[in-house]
Order: sequence, then C-alpha cells, then structure tokens
Amino acid sequence: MKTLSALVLFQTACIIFLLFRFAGDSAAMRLSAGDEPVPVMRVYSGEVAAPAWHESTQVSPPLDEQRLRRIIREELDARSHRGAVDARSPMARNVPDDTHRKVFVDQQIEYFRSVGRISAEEMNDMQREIAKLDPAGRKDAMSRLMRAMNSGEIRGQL
Amino acid sequence: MKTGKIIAVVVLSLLSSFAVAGYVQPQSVTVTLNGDGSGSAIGDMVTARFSDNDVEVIGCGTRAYDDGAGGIYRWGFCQATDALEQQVICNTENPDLLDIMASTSDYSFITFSWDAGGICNHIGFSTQSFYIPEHAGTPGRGRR
Repeated sequence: MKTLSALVLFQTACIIFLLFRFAGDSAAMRLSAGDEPVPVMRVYSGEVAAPAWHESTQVSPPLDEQRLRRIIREELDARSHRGAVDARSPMARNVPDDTHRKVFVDQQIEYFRSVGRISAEEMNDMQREIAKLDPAGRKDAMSRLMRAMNSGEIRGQL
Repeated sequence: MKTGKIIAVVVLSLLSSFAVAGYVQPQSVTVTLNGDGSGSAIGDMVTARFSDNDVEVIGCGTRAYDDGAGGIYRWGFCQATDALEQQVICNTENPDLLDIMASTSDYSFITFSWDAGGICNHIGFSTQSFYIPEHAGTPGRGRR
C-alpha cells in the first residue's frame, strides 16, 4: 500500500513538472515573436546573412504576425526560385544572382519608406548593393529610390 | 584737431567699405515641382550655406562603386532643399553630365532639372564673382 501510494505521488509530481515545463516553453515562444524587429536579410548565395541595416538606424517598424508571415513567405519564394534556376541548366549557376539581389534592394527601399528616413551611411550601403545589379536593375532601383525621396517618403541626403 | 581725427576715421571707414564692394547677386534655393514628378531647382551654394534657416541645401556630387564584375559603376546626383523644406534629388549615369557635376567649385551657382523618373536631364554651373560672399560668412545684399 505504501509502495502504491509512493508511486502515485511520484507519477503526479512528474505530470505537474511536465505541465509547467510545456507552459513555460509556450510563453517563451510567444514573447520572443514580439521582442525584436526582424531585420531585412540577404537571401542570395544560399545563406542568410546578418541584418543589412546599420546600427545607426533609430526607428524599427514593429513586428506583427502579418509582417513576419510576409517576410517568411518572401524568403521561401526566393529560395525555391533559386532552386528552380539551378535545376534548369548547369549554365544558370554561373549567372550573377541579380534576382535575389534585386529583391533585397527592393526590400531595403521599402524598409526605408516605412521608416521615412535614411542616413548617409545607410544610403552608401544601399548604393553598394545597387552597384552590383545589372544595368536594368540599377536603373529601376535608382528610379524608385529617387521617386521616393522626391515625394518625401524617404528623407535623407547624399 | 579732435574733429579732424574723427573725420579721418569716418572717411577711411567709407573707403575700406568700397574696397571690398562689388556686384553681388545672391540666389536662394528655389525648387519647382511638376505634377508628373519632374522639376527643376536653382540656387547658389553660398546663399544656401549662410541662409537664415538651417534647411537650405544645393549641390551635386559623384559616386563610383565596384560593381562586383570587374567594372566600376559611376553615377552622379544633384540635390536641393528650399526654405520650405522641399527636398529634391536627381541622378544620372550619363558620362557628360558626370563631368559637369565633377566641375563644381566652392562658390558655384547651380541649376538642374530632372524627368518624371528622377533622372537628371539638365545640369548647369556658374562660377562668377557675384556669387562669392562679400565678407566671410556674410552674403551680399545687392549692387551699391
């Protein structure tokens, strides 16, 4: 009888421990989703590199579920596109990854439009990325950037 | 004797003023925007720099970046902000316009315009004596 009681008590203690453990993990996952803004990340070259914007950025847009889902969807689309390009032809692997770089630059422009400002250093970093696009991509990116600055959507100076 | 000294001081002061005079023609930054996004801007750098507000700006510059494929991506820009904080900027890759942008000097008058896509389609510089400040930090006020 004593043995049985001890076993019951032990079993109950294990159940309670596991309940607290899972509850704690769920709370940590909910908290981490809203702690920090998800940075714009580079997708090309098969790696996700460090955040692209500079530490001097003062304002970060709040991260909500919709924005997080959109970013993840874009990342997955970019990865699947790269896989499709690689599968089509061996020659495709030698073509510069302008598509993904263009996506990255477009994301950068959208980010700065959401923030409303761009510092000289951030502008310099983005120009370095634009320089590596193909001529058509450069023209498009610069045109979008200039239009955003002339309309007042992005404040900053070169 | 004392009156004579006072007269001498007054006369010498007037003479020194004439010695640094000359025709000046300040041009504040003026931005003109069209409905389609095109526009134009004019201004001289000295007047912008020493204006009463802290927002007026006008100038041009060039940039050169490694394009990652063995070449160099060169482009240039002109930008201006008027007293109403209207900010405009245009860019170009045209090598002839880049040469003009690179020729900006310290006391230049600048005029530029752009198309609806933000591409510079006209750039002009003028480096003349009447854009040089009358005194260091004090722009002139017109012909005397």
